[in-house]
Amino acid sequence: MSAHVPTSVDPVFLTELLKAGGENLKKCYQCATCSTVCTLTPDHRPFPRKEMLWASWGQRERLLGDPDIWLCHQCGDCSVYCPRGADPAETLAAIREVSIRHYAVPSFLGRLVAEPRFLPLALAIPVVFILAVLALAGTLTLPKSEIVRLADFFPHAWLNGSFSLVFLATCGFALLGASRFWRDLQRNWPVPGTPRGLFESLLPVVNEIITHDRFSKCTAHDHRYLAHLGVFWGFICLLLATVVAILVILLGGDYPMPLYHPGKLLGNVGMVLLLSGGYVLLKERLSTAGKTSRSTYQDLLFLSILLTVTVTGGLVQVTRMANSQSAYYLYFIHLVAVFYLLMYLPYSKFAHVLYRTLALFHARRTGRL
Amino acid sequence: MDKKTILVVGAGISGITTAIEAAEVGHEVVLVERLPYLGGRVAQLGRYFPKLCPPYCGLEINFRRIKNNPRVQVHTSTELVSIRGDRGAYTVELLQKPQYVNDRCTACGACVEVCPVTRDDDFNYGLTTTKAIYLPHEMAYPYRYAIDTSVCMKLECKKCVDACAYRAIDFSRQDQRFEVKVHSVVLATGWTPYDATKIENLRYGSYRNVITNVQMERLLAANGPHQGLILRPSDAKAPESIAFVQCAGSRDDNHLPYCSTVCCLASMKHALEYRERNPQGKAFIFYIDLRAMGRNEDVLSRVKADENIVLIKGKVARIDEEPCGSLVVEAEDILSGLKRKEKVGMVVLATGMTPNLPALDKVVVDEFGFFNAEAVEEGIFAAGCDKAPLDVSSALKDATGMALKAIQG
Repeated sequence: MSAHVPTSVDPVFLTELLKAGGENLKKCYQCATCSTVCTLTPDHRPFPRKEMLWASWGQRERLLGDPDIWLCHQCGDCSVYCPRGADPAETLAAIREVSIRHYAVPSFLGRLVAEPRFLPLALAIPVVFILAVLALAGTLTLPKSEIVRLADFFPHAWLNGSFSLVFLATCGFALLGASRFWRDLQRNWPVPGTPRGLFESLLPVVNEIITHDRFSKCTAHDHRYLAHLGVFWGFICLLLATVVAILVILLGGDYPMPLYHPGKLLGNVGMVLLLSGGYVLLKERLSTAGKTSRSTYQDLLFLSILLTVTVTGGLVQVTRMANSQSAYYLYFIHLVAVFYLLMYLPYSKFAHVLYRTLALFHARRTGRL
Repeated sequence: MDKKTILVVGAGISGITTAIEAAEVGHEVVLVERLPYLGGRVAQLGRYFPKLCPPYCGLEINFRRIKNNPRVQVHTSTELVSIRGDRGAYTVELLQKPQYVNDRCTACGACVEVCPVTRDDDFNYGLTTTKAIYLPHEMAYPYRYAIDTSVCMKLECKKCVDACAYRAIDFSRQDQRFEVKVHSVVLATGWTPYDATKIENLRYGSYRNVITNVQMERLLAANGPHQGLILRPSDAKAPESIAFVQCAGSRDDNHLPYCSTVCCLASMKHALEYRERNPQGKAFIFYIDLRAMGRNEDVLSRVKADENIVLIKGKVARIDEEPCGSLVVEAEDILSGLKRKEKVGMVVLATGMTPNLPALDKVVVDEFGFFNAEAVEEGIFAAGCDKAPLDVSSALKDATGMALKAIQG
């Protein structure tokens, strides 16, 4: 296997890494303690020691097409044992963050989501978008009816139609980013002559995603693995509940669904899972700030948006049942947050679902995992 | 010549050197030592750089020079309590622990036979045990037995008192405080090996065949636990291979942030000596950077010429124990980019030096705990490893210079 070895050095890329949480990476003196204490790395060309070297040289091409940065779950063992305080875990997180920005299509959306100063604009877009759709639907005023009905505020057809259209565009952009990432993966780590079969490679990836079996090997923060598992399954439940709701609406069933409806039950179970997992993650991120496992703007923003979606969703349900007008306001916030979550997926930390999955698949296909 | 009195604290190789150099040009020297014998860490070495001689030959000459020089006053089992006064006129308070064994002792050993208490032998870094009354080592100076007061039952037992034909043991002795007036003070309190149990992932203290470099020196010494045979602690068998783990707790922000300068050469020397004594044996040295300064690069060349000494660039960060007592050390071999798991019979951790300076107002230390010569008043000096980690020959040069400083100070 002769990989293309890029040798170019990019000082701008290095500066980006330093800003994105890798500010201590230059302290690394290449002792490789990190590669040895890591419980997730393969034995052949282990990480993160080589990434630390490439990062300090600003070797952009090597790092962007490096599947290993996505095999890391940032348990922080390497940073704890690092004799120099070079924070390999945070450096890999910074490389991932810069990667997401690099593969962003269109690139201005990557900057919009990544830079804190653009946050007002990033939030204004969904607000304006939703107001515009409401204006088109002719429901820009709060419904006057006695009973709170969300469909009176935002007709389902308009909601599902407009959000689906934008999400379709997002998916297109995400695919473009993903294909560029895949191309770089193959350039840096060519698939061998006889790669593992498609299903043979895919099955362990699916298994890993649904069980978090590799994540669970991160012994330093085992509650984080459980918390992430909660968030993951909570999100899946809520996604399925949303699909069920859309189907019910399309098929003309009873809507809002009664509490005992399987879709409703699924949604509420998901909400509990996501809230408890998300709470643990956010608490840890806030409490360890400044120590190992520093958190960046992107880490905190993504978690906050996810929790906002969940909390406002739950509150909308309660206020609607209590027949309170505040349900409309909460619903509006909920929709802004949902828009943010889904439409900015390829540019926020959410993009890890894309890149990590691809990297895992690539690692299985090439026999790296 | 203006005759001055100089206090030297610590009678390791540096303190002895300063004391003798000052005394032999005609000054009075008070040499105090915390332990019951002179010689310090050097007495515990197997062989040392640059000529790789055993320590006894050099120490013997120095002990004779002290013995023959009436201007050196030696106080063993004595600690520095305080320094008062100013440059040129210090009053120093000293505390001598009870000298239960006096100079009537002939080192016949009758006391050892009756002593019921055993203790870890700190001269052998815990690899062996002695009785509570013990001869520190074969060439101890002064040549007499000592009592470990932390474990001895004293008058409740006093079997040794009855066994001693020379009435050399006297448990009625008390602490003695006394003061000396001196012109200047030279601290030569030396160093302590870094506590390897603090490096959790290297498992010293939980895996018996993980030892430290100072313990390896004892194993290699002719007067060591097995008379120079390298046998591992768990089963007293010769290990078929040894892994040397460099920078164990050194150059590490979590432990000692500095380099102790001698450990690379010490491990290379250990590997060569192990190979000489075990022609079938194999040695692995895991390092970050191999530091062989000056003419000692020859040692590195000898190491490289031996195909059974394998140099691996990459720090060991995990050690697992097998049921037989052998160990699997794990590191990334940086030059090949592959994880390396090596099964070995014994592991030697190259631990660094920590300074032993007394906590006194007049003794200012740097960020790592070493003597800060710039911040301390003229008149108080430090020699050898009190200033920085040094090898023996550099410590000797420094100690000789400090003798002159102390005379002038």
